[in-house]
Amino acid sequence: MSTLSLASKLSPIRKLKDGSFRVFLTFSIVATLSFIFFVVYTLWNDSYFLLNSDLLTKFPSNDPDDVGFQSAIFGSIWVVGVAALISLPIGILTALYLEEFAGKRNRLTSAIETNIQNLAGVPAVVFGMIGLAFVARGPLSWGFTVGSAAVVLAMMILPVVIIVAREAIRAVPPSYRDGALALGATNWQAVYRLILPSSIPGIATGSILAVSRAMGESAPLLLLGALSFVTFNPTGLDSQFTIMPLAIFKYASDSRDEFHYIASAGSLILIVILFTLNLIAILLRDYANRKSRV
Amino acid sequence: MKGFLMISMKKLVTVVIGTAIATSLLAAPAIANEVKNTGPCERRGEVAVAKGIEYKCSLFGKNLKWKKVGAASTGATSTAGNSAAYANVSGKISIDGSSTVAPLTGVAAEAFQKVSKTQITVGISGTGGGFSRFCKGETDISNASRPIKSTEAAECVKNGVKYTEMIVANDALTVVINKSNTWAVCLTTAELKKIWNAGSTVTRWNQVRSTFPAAKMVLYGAGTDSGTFDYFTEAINGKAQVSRKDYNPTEDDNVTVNGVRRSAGATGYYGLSYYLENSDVNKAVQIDSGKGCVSPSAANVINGTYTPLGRPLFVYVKHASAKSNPAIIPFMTYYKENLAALAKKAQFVALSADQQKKLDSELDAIKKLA
Amino acid sequence: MEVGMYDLSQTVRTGSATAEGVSLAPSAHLRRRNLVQKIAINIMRAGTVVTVVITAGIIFSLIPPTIQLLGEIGTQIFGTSWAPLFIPPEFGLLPLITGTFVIVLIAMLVAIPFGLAAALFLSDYASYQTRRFVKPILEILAGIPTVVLGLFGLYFVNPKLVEKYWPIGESVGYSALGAGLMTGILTLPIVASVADDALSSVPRAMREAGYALGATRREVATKVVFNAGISGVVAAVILAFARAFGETTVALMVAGSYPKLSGNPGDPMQTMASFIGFAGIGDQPTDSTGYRTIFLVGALLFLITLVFNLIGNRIILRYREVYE
Repeated sequence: MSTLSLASKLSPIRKLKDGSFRVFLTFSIVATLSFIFFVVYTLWNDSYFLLNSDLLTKFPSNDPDDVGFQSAIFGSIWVVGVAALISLPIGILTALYLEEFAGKRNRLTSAIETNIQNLAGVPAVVFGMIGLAFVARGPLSWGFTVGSAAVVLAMMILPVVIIVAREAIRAVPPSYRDGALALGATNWQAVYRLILPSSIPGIATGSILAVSRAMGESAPLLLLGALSFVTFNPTGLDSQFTIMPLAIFKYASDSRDEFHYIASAGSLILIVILFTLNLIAILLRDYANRKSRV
Repeated sequence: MKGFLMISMKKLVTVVIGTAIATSLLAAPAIANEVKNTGPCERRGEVAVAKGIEYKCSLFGKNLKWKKVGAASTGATSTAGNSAAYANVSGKISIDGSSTVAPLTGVAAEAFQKVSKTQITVGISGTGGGFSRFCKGETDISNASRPIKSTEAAECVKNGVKYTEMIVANDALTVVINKSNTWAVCLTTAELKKIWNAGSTVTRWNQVRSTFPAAKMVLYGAGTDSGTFDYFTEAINGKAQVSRKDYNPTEDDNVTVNGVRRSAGATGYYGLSYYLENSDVNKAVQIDSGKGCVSPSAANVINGTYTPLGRPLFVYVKHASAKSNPAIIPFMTYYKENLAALAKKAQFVALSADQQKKLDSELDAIKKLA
Repeated sequence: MEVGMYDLSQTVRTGSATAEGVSLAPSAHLRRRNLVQKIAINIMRAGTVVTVVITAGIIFSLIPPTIQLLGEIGTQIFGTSWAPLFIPPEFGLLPLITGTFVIVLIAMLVAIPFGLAAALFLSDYASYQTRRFVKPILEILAGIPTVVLGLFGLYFVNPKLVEKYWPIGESVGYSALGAGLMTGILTLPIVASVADDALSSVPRAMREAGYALGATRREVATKVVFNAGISGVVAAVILAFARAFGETTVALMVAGSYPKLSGNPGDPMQTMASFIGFAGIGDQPTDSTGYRTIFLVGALLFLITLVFNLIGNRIILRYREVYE
C-alpha cells in the first residue's frame, strides 16, 4: 500500500499542519525528558561538591559543615516499612476478597469499590489531619511517633495497594482458576494455592510503587511533627522521627545559602532511593511478564 | 529476541543517574588537602591541623574552604568540660516552641547528644504552639520568646502540668530592611507602629516619613503562633497580637530573612541571632524610642539602651519530666554550664551576671525535685 | 491438592466412601476445608471493612469541627480577608479559593496541552519501540517527589524566571505562577497516562476508516481518535484537576504564606492545602477556633476533590464499558 502517490496530492496547508503538529508532539516529549534531566542537572550542579558518604552518616546540625541525612533516611525507612507491614496484608486480603469472593453485581460491592477509588484520590494532607485528630491525639494519643506516622501512611497507600493488587490478580488467566475448581478445590484453596502465588510478582511490583509514593510524601507527616530537629535514628514505634522529604524541606527553608546546597544534595539522595525502588519494581514486572508468557 | 536484550529507557536513565550519584556518595573520602591558609578543600567537615592551628573544611556559599577554628590545643570544642560525666545518661527529651530560641536549644541538644546517649528532638511550632503542646503534657521542655500567657498557664494548671520558667538568653528583636534600602536607617517606635498597627494602610515608604522615597513596601513578619509576634505587637502596637493582617507571616524566621533579602522595599522583624547569622543579606534598622537611634546589639541589650525591643528568652521545664525522665536534669545542667559557649556559637546574647545567678538557683531547685 | 472422592465442588454435598457404603454426610477433611474457607473469607471481609472505617474516620474527623465552626462564624466565610489565627480573626474564604484556583488553572494550562500531546504521541505516532522508550519517561516524571519540585520552584523558577520576566507587579520570592508551573508538571503524567489509556483503546477500525477516507495521520489523531476518546480525555483532565487541587508541598514552598486576594499570578498566594500545611507546622490547641478552621478548610478540600474524583472515575468506567 503506497501512500506516496496520495501524499503528493495533499494541499500545502495540510502538509504544513501535519508537520507542525508532529513537531509540537515531539517537542512536548523532548521537553518533558529534558525537564527531568534539567532538574537533576540543577540539583547536581548545586551539590556535587558535597556528595560523599558524610551525607549518609552524619546527622542534622545547626552547622552546615556537620550536616547529614542519616536520621532522616532511617526515619523514612522505619515509617514506610511499618506502613507497608500494615497496609500490604490488609490490601492484599481486600483485593482477594473483592476479586474472588464478593458478589460481582452486588450494590454493596460496587459501593466499596467506589469508596476505594475515592480514597485513592483524597489529598495526602487530609490523611494527616485524621492522623492528628485520631491517632496522634484523640482516642489513641500515640503522639508524634513512628507508630502514628506509619498508621497515617498506611491509610494513604492502602487504596493504591488494593487497586494494584486487584489488577495483578485479574491478570492471572481464568483457566488457572477453572482448572483448580474443576479438580475439586474450594474457592479458597484455588486462591490460596494457585492464584495468589501466581499474582505475587504483580502484587510486589504494585506494592513497591505504593511504597515509593509513601516515601516521597511530605504533607501528611508535616502535621505529625516530622519537621523537627532530630539527631538520632528511631529505635522503636514510640520514637520521634523525621523523614527525608521533610529534612529536605527544612534545609530548603533555612536562610543560609549553605543549607540550600545541602537540600539539593538530599534531593538527589531521595531521587536515587526512589528510582532504585522503581527499578526493582520494573525488574519484577518484567520477570512476572516473562513467567506468565511461558 | 531483540526486545529481550533491549534496555528500557527507564532502566537506562535510572542506572546512569543512580550509579553517578551512588558512586560519588560511597566514594572513599579524599585525603586531606594540604592546608594552605584558608584555601580550597575537598571534604566538608574535615578537620586538619597546620602549624598548631586547627582548621575545618567549611562550606562558604558554594565553596569548600578551610576555616580557622582555633589553636589546636583547645581540643574538640570549648564545651568539652566535664563531658565524661554524661556518658551514661540516656533517655528521650521532647522540646518544642519558639523558632527564635530553637537554634540555641538546638545547639545545646546537638552537643549534649554527642556526649551522652540521649535522644533529643527540637520542634519549631512557635511559642504558642509549643505551649499548647507543653500544657497538654506532650513535651518536656518548651522554648519561648515571651513569658507564658495567663490563659496558657491556666491550661497547664488544668492538666496538672507544673513547670519552672528559666531565662537562658537575651534577645534584641531586630527590624530589618533590604540591603539596598538606604533611607530607613533609623525608625522611631511611632513610625513602626504606623507601619504595623492593625488597620494600617501603609503600602509605600513615603507614607511612613515624607522624606522617604515612594518605594513599595513588602512586609514579612512572625506568624500568630510565634512569641516574636506576640512580643513585637505588644511592644510596638501596645497590645499583644494586634497587628495588620496583610503581610507574609511565618513561624520560621528563616522565611523572613529570605523574603526581606529579595525585595528592595521589604521589611520584617525577627530575633537578633537570625540577624547576626544573616547580616550579609539583611540590614538592621536602628530604633529610636525617644532617646536617639540605638542599634540592635548584644551590648545594647545588656546595657538596656535597646528598648522597647530588648527581651529575655525562656525555656520552660516540666517538673514531672524532671522527676521521671533521667535525661532532663543532666541536660539542663549541661545547658547551664556551657551556656556562654553555646550562646556564642548560636550567636545569642549571653546572660548578665544577675541573670546567671538566678538561673543557677532555679536549676538547683529543680534538681531537688528529682 | 487434596481431592475428595467423587466430589466435584464444595457446593455439592458429598459423602465419604467407606466399606459400609457411601454416606451423605460431608467427610472430615471436607468439613475442615469448608471451615478454613469460611474463616479466610471472614478475615478478608474484615480487611475490606478497614477501607470503610478509614472513610468513616475521615468524615467523622472533618464534619463535627466544621459544623461547629460554621455555626459560630456563619456568613463570615464569604468575606474577602483570610486571617483566622489573628485577633480579631477574619474568616473570609475568598482569598484561599482564588489562590487555589489560580494555581490549579496555571497547572492545567501546563499539564493539559503537554499531557495530551504526550498521550496522542503515544497512541497514534509512536512505534512500539518508541512507546517502550517514552512511557517510562512519564513514569519517571510522576516519580519525582513533590519536595524536589518545590525546591526547584523555590530556587530556580521563582528567582530566575518569575522575578525577572513576569511583567505585572513586583514578584518577590514567592509566586502563584511558580507554584502553578510546578504543579502542572506534577499533574502532567496523570493527564498523559489516563488520556493515553483512553486514546489507545479506541478501536483500530475507526483509525483505519479515517485513513481509508484519505485523512492524514494528524487528522486521524485529532479528529477521529481524539473525539472518539473524548470521554477519557475529559476524565484525565478532571482527575488531574483534583490532584492539583490537593497539592500541598509545592504550594507551601513556592507560593508563600500570605493569603493575598489577587488575580496576578506573580503575587504570593495561599491555597487551601497550603494553609493546612502552614497551620500544621505551627500548632493549634485542640478545639480552639484555629484548630477548627483547619478542619473547615480540610472538609472543603476533601469535598471538592471527592466530587471531581467521583465524576472522573465514573466517566472512565463508562468508556471502559463501551469498548469492552
